[in-house]
Amino acid sequence: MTLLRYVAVRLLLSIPVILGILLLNFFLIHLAPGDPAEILAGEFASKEAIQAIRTRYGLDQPLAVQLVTYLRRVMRGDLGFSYDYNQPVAAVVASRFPATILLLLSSQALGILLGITLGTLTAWAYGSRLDTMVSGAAAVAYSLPVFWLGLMMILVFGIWLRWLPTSGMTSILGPEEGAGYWVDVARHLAMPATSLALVWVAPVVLRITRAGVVEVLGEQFTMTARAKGLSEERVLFRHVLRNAMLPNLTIIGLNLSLAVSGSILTETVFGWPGMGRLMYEAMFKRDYPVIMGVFLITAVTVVLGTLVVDLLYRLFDPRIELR
Amino acid sequence: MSVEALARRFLRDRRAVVGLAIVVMAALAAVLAPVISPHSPHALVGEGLARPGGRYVMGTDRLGRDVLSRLIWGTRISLLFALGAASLSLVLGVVLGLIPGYFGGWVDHLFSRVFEVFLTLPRLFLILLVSALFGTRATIGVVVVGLTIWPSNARLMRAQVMSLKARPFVEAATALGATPWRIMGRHLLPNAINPVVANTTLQIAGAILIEASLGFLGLSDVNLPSWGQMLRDAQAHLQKEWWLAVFPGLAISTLVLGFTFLGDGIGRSLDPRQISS
Repeated sequence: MTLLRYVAVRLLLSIPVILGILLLNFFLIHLAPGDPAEILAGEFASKEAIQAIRTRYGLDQPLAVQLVTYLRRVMRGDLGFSYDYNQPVAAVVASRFPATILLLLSSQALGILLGITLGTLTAWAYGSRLDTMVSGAAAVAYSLPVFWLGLMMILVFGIWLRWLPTSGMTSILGPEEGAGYWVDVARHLAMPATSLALVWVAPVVLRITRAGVVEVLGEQFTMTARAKGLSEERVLFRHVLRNAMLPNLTIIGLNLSLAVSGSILTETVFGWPGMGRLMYEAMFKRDYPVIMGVFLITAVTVVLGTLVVDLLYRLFDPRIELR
Repeated sequence: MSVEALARRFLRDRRAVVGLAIVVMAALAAVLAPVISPHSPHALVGEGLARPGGRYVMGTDRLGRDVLSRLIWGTRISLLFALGAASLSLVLGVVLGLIPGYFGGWVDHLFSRVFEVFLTLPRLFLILLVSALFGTRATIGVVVVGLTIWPSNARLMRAQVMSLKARPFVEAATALGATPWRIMGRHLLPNAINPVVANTTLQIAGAILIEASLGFLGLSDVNLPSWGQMLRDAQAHLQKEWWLAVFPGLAISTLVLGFTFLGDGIGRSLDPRQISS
């Protein structure tokens, strides 16, 4: 099967998954106590407003008709209207999307870098005291509540040492463009990204890399490379790391939904203006259209992200047959 | 392998023993909470925000409640929540893994898609959505967490069953006319369940973290002393009374680490080929 065909099949297979998420979203609001129209209209809606929503979304129709209406609406990109923001939900979510993606990508990059470095190191020194210490530290890091690590970082680096800003994405009176703006954002990003990387990315990557490198070190092609008289660095980078990296991709893909979930905690602790924070605020304002919109968008993002990771995996490992 | 041999192997594993010790101590604290905590977790025992040491080992919170007592009672909440969610996940995982593993074919395909949906869902977002719609009672939390974490158990169970069902003893049972349900219940389940149990222990660790997260986000029952909620309250006092944020965090991390070590230890003693981590 060609790569193109494989991509097509994978895309087709993710349709039922996305459909499942849509159905879940649709049925949850109908299972909830109360009238869906009232739930969607918000707390302070008038009788007329509720009736308007009922007609607009066809909530007085049979359930099957409603479902079709709902699916049609979502296909058009209409996720409903937030009465709290007085904006379409799609616009509200879109305005918060970049901040979350920035946080996710930077924490993944940082965690992968750290995990691979330490994982290779511990595998190289397998069974040594260094190995025991680093692996133990990783187990501890994995057990930390990510929001607690955030609080402790705020305490140490924000309050005691005063090195880094503790909340938000930019300073109130900071530069609004150019290099100065990005430095400002980077300073705000440092703690949220590090806390996510340390708890949810690095320990997993370390564990997988360590196991992979230990295994590859014992394989014949590694011995051949050494027997050829290649330098240790060359053996490590050309032969060992390349092969030990692959399982990481799968794990990163599987971990994506965890990382997205983690962002809600991190964004709440650090006041980071992303989708997690949006969801948190919407919860307390009972802004249901936004809550459901964020849920839908994050779930679909995870599906597509997993798909991309899966494709990368096939690209990097020619041994895997495209089925 | 005999139970004694398993136990011996488990006890040689230093991390596993540490994990077991932590879990046993937490269980004791939870059961004996009314006896060992110096005060009631709800009683206003002294002035607010007392420093740790002196009359109150870990100080008092803003309302003047004893932090140590609240921590001890919090163990109960945390364990009950996590055990409830993990048990639900164990039952669902075993049943919903047996069926596709045994029947295969289109049943398996259908189940695989369902697993995929559940594994992809951003769990905390779903829990938030459900809490927003259905309320924040602890029982709802337990059920939602259980309903979202079972697929990893089901996947393990399915893989085990698929490799077991080709074995002679299953063929023999089929030849003797045993019904599919009898084969699944009597022959496949007991032989397939071990890795699922190890995984469920790890899920307890995950569920403790979720319970704490819900408390921290303000989605747990305010009448129960939960560790996450203590951290939520501590946020406002980070500048001056920073210790309020330290103790609950340590409690959560220790208990999670305990279950992680225990789960890994069980997994390793069942399958010694695993690389120790």
